[in-house]
Amino acid sequence: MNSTSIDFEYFIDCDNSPFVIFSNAMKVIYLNRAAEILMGYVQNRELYTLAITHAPQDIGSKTTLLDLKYGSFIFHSITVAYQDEEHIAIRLYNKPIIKNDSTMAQEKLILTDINTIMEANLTLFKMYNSCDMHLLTDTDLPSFKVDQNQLSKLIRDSLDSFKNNNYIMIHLSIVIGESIRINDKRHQILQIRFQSDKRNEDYDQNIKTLSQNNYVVTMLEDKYIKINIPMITD
Amino acid sequence: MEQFFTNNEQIKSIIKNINITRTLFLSSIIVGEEYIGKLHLASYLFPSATIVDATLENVNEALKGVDEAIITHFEKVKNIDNLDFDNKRIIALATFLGNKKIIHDKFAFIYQMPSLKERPEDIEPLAHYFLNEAKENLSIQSDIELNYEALDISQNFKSLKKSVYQQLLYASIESQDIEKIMYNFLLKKYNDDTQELYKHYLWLYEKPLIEAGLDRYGSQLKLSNILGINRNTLRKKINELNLH
Repeated sequence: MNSTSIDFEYFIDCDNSPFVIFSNAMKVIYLNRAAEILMGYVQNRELYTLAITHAPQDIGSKTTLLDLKYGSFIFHSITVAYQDEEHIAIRLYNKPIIKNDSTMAQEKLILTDINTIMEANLTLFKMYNSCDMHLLTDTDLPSFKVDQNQLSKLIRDSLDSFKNNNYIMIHLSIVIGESIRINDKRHQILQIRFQSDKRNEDYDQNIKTLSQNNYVVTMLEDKYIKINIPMITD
Repeated sequence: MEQFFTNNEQIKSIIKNINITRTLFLSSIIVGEEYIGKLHLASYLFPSATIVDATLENVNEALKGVDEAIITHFEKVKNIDNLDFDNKRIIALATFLGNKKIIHDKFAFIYQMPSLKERPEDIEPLAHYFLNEAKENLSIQSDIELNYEALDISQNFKSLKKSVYQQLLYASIESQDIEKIMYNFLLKKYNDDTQELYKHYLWLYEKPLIEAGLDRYGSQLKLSNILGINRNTLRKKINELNLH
């Protein structure tokens, strides 16, 4: 079989698992689409160090099982390979995602101004909490369809998990280059990011349940919560 | 449209918040003691809402086809888990939260409404509101000075209103009204077994007479002169009536 005429780069580019080739000067020589998105969550240096640390002793490849988490990316193992002293490649294997069987009745979703729901939640939160709230948003964010009640509960629980801090930063923005697929249709993502010094994890289970029921992807970290909401418009 | 009056910042925030969300289909609950104006507030904010009593056997049935509802006595609702609030604007009213987890799961917005004791800034204006209402309802023209210390807020609006009506009546009453009240009261006390009724109810006249005199003059000597009775007789009466 002659495989040299096949353009492998295209297939690697389409792969959901991130793949990066570094030069020995830590410069990125190649990265596929999945790696492009991953680079929004992790520094070059960190990935390069990871590759060097888990590289085989001699020319060849080595696969290592390890749990890695960068933003919404979760990996269960990596393969590091090199053929010469000039280049080193790393491939990160996505952890299988449990299929979400929840059925969100899209006809029940209502076109909503996200800023209105956010403002109402912040006003309520401020009634019973004294921490400083710093909201960074765009008042011209387009309306999209959500379950208003469920989303309000998700925002409320996210705020509550930061309530013992002196301040909470809230940032609403549209995520560029990523999308959420629902029923074979891709939707832009509106991200709400809550951040402070520490976070109470007692609300995590509720937050996860509310997210799962609404096709929302939530990232729970020590100091922040990111909520990625599909901007369903039809 | 109904008016809702308050000087309390917490209630102003509740009103502000509900006004922000008034076009959204959200489930909210207002929790607070009885007779603090929860239904009045909800009706003021949602004048077209259907009012559903949660003591009904089937609240879901009552909510069918309704977009906007106020559910009263929510603490008494049965089968909370089965309630369907999808795409409805719900304002529930309750005197306590009950199972916090279920309430938390069911409602996006949970408001705590302060009692009158917790919002003293509202007492005086509310008392004047009830005073004007009482004057109109009872056709009393004369003005009175409310004794704020004597206002009863133990049962919030209910007891406040009652104490304002009482103060107005006490201040407006004439001797012939007292006579009629006494007549009706004493008539009920007469029966075939009645004995020494004169002696038994004489205090109804003597006690306020002497108590008011003591409050007015302080001195028993002066009061005995004004009442035209012997000083020893007055002292004896004071002891008998326990007016020390």
